[in-house]
Amino acid sequence: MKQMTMIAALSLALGGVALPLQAAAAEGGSIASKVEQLGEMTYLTFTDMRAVHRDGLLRVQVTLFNTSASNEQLFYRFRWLDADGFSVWEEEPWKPETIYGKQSKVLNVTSPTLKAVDFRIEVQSPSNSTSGHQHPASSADNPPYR
Amino acid sequence: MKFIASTTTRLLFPVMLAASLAACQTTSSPLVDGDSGVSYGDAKAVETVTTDLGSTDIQMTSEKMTQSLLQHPLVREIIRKRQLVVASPVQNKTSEYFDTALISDTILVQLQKNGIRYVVAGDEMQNQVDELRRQNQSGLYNQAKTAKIGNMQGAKYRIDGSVSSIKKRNANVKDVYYKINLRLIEIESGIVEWSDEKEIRKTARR
Amino acid sequence: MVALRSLRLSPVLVALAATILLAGCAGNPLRSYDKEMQGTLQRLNSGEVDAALSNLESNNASIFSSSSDAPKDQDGEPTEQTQLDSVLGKDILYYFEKGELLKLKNDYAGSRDAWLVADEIVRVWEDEYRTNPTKVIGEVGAYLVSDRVRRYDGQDYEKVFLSTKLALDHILLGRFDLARIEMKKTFEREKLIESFRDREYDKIKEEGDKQGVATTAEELGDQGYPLDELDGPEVRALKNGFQNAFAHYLSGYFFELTGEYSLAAPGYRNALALQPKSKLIQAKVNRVGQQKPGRNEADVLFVVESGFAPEWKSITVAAPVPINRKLVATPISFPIVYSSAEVAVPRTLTVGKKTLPVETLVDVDAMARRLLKDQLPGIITRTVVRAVIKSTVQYQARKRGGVIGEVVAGIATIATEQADERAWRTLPAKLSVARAILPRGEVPISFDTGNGIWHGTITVNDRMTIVPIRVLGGQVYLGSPGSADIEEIREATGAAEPAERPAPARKKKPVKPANAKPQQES
Repeated sequence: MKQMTMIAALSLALGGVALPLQAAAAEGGSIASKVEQLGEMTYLTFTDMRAVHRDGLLRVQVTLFNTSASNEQLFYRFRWLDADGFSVWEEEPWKPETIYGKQSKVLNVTSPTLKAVDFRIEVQSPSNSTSGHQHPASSADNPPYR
Repeated sequence: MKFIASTTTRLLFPVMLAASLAACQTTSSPLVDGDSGVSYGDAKAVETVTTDLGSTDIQMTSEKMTQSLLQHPLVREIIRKRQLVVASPVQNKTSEYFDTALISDTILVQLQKNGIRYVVAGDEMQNQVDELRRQNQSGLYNQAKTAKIGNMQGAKYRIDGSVSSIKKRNANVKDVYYKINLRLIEIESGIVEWSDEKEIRKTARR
Repeated sequence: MVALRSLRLSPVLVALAATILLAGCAGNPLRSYDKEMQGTLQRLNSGEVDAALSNLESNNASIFSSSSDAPKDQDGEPTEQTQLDSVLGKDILYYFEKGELLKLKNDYAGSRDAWLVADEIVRVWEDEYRTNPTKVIGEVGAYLVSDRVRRYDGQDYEKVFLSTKLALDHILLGRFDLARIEMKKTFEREKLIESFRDREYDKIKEEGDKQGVATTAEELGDQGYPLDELDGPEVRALKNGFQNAFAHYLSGYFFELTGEYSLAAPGYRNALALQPKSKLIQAKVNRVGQQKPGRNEADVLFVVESGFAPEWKSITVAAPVPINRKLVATPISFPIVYSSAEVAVPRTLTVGKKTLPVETLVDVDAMARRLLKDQLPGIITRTVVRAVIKSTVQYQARKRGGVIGEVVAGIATIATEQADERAWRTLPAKLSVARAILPRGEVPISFDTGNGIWHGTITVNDRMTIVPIRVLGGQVYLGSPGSADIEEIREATGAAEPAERPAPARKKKPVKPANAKPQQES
């Protein structure tokens, strides 16, 4: 798991052909800095993430890998930020995504507004685990669906 | 250290406190419920109550369509030239009582946040006409300052589309496939400048 | 009591009170509903609505107060709580029938109020099922109660029809906003019933397996139960016993005229799924909004209802009941719906110079039989399981005495029970429609009642005009077309009404009295 994240981070740094993100990107441009997990993902890992600012829009491509053999349910949404880290778009709806066992899933997203220069991706999976007081809001018991 | 951190948390997140710190006394919430069992939920949560078209489908569809539209160079031009767009009623080809205005309205709102201007149509048109008539024909208004008749602007482009579905079911599974198709049409020429579709599959097990 | 009576003045309060009062009322489950209704129906057939109404009222004189023979305490309050099936001492059937009778009198407000009370009773059932489905399904297994004394919530097709008729009343009263809500409710109700029946079926099957009951409808048929009555082409053609093609067609019509095509389209589409052969519906599917009435025209919908819904009767057959591990043929009563006499549906309406084809969209007669056909396995299992349980209880109690005969005697109490005969009888046997775009103003109308040609006049006022017609024997009840107040429509719908239109003639309908005798033509 840890290893996976490392590899993933590398692929972003080296293979991150286009990552002209300002400000926030400077904190390392690692995948971890862009991802907000609700609890810890047990089976799903980020293997690649790239972002480019083109035609005034921020285009993001995220690759997730399901390490388990069975299907995993993923809930995700993006938060679009300006250079100062302020949110420039309304709260996005949570989106469900099924990832088959051992599948790599590519999420391709374009910002819904011309103002976005940075982003965060919020992810949750029903099989997330939580290890103590990580973040006050994190809890695998409350998936964003009903 | 830890103590300080938790104090900050307490100040910032009084609601979360109740859940996380069992040892402390809980505070009362600004809430009157009378044991009704009613609570506010997350409007953005994924809704899977039935296989019918629901809030998540509308939200996901309009989001995808807005993103797709914005990527089209023509839309950038529409914004720059301040051209007008109108939404024609989206056709409902399913057997579900689903008001398709929910989709087109949301898309218009999201486009407008990006600077696209649109004009009213359909039901709302009547209110517009009524108001113009009231200002100009009722004799109640100062004619120097009223909105004049004959100045309404027609749109250059219109958004149009349809929602279709295929339903299958057997004893154990009900499966519904939805396809929502949208198009941007130049009104004068009838040319479809942009089109995209969103597919949704919903499955229910008994 | 006095306080409750005065509440009757306000329909809203009655509806509210209904939910509260449900807990305290007593019904009389052993009345013979079918016999009671005969008098009411006969009076309707001869055109005496008022007499029919007073007949209904006298049959339903309050069993809630003094006339009830339930045990009471010194304050006159009943000491026993019986099955909850009534509001202010009247059960849902009273409100079903009353609403229908008032509608025939063209008292749409009164009809709506009566039906709203009935609807409240159905809503109680719906809410129970929504909030606690397992409990409601569980009651299916409450076998010690006969079907006849179970609370009558209305048959499935009656529940759906009630909602449809309420929507129609709202339209006739010009309350388009309420009609819209009611239509949504109709379709939610259809879905709820569907889900309930699915789960009920599973539950009954499970219970039947547990008690070793495997009596089938065919076995019952061998014993003389008239299964043929429940099997005919018109019964098999239906998808189920509750979905109402007219309800969907009506919403197609309504939303087409309010300009909401995305809601009108599924209306027609669903109606066609239920009535695939209807030309009237076919003409509308995928063509919503293509035929609009002009400025001085109206899209007129004629709703022709004929005859009465069929009666539910009780029939006793010897069903094999497993008692003490032996199958004993025991006489038990089951309900049966006999196909009623052929009712007259005019084949065409002559309106002005046009001849309009009339198409039957709802065959209540077939729906009732279809419903019974679908539910018969459940009814059989439920009744037989009840017989088994009762016999087992007695068997255990008398085991030492060793008298098997008494066990059989115990079953006799079940054998003497009658099946449930309750049903909404003033519902039409058939509901048909005709539709045309007509000029506004007075239009003569005539059609064959099956008993001579009947002539009348209708007034077409609004873009959306619905003309209710009831044909009963030779009698014709012509409703007054909904003359909705234009301002109200605009408020309700955001209005797609043309801005300037001639002030509608606010005359009272100049038609003949509703119960005019048909003029014979040779």
